Amino acid sequence: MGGRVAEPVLEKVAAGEPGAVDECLARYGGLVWALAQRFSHNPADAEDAVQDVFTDLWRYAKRFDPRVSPEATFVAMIARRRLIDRRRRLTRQVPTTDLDQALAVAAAPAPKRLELSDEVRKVREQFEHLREEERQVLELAVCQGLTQVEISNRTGLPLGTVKTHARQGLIRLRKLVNDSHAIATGGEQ
Amino acid sequence: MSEQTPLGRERLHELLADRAVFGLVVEEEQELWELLRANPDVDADDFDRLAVTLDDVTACAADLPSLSPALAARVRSQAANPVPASPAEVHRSRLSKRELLAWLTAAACLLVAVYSWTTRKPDAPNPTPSGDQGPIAKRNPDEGPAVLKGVPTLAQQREELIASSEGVLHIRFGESVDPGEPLVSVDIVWSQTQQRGFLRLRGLPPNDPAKSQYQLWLVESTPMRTETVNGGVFDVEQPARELIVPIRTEHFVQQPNMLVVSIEPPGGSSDLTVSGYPLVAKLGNLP
Repeated sequence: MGGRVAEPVLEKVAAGEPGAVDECLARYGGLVWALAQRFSHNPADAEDAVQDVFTDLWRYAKRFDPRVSPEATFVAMIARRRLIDRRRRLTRQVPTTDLDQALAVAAAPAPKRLELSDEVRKVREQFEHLREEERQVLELAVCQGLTQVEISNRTGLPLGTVKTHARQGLIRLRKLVNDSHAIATGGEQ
Repeated sequence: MSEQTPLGRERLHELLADRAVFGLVVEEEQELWELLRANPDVDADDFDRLAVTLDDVTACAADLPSLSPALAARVRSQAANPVPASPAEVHRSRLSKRELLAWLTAAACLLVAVYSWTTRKPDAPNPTPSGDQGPIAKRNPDEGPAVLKGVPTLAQQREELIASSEGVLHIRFGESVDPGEPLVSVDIVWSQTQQRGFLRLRGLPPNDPAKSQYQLWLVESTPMRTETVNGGVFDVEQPARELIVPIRTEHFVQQPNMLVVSIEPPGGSSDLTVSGYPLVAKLGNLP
């Protein structure tokens, strides 16, 4: 969110303050929409997904703790969790997810980046220390929103291997980030 | 803390990582919930935050195109409704304030009834559930002298349902997550023809009704669609005590495949929580 830290709006939403919902939509509507598009196969589905995400957001707004994470991270976390779950359920309903749609989603233009926050930069630095196949799978899964099947189709990796790379990559990344943080703060555990 | 074995924690991290990237199936959700319960010091959101940070989409949130006015209006109208749900699900799983009030009233009445059952006979038979979704978690008649005359207890109603033998599904299972944890035993009876049933269970941890409640769901899955049908909320006061919870759905359930118990905000939710199911039971095929 750049250098300017806006006043949190979720507390106002949780408190039912007038105008808080509009403010939240104005601030995070684009973020949720971008994520929903990435995890959806068509605009109508993405619109339904946006509604689902905001439903969760109203429900969980009171859980936001600014000491734990920036508000945008919390919003994105709630959104991603709902979108991943939603996609899983939809995939079960219609098991023949086709690759064309996935590729169309993956080909959507990425929003331009203004600047990297310190936290993002640290994570990105450590991300480069992962194995190439772990980076590839995590890029496709986390940053482009592809499913396990879609990644398998695109990379030629077996489904189980895709899952293993994603899992081990994220676990290793977490450890690398924590280790680097411990070093930066004087070697604490 | 003794449950925090290295193996358990390693598996917990695997599940958290999987959830953050591809999501979990319901059985994994259950496993995750159990491991989180055994490892209360673990930050359940850590991997999700890491994925968000790696994604970096939040860095340019202000630069992203906003919602269309029509979509924003839809979301706004949902926000005005305290329990929003998609139109197709409104009638299936939504809990209104009026229902919540009815639940709380029913719960209070039932608590009074439990105490009074041991000392006097009620006048009227316990009616067949008629749409109310009251949180009912009752004592096991084996544990006490509360034997009623003329009033079928939940246990008796359950036995009668089993005896009716009309398309009644009856499954039971028990599992122990950790050696130190109590066995969670589950017994489910569901009548397809009568569209009602009973969940008998023991071993779930107590909940604080002011903070959360357990909620029952029947999951109906076909090749074309998957739907979750609200089966009502209930509370657990003592994990060692056996509970009998009536399962009542608001709408016809054609082919329930799974019974799920989730943890929801007080009063229940309109939709099944994304993660953290303390109980998942496959129902298999109906007779």
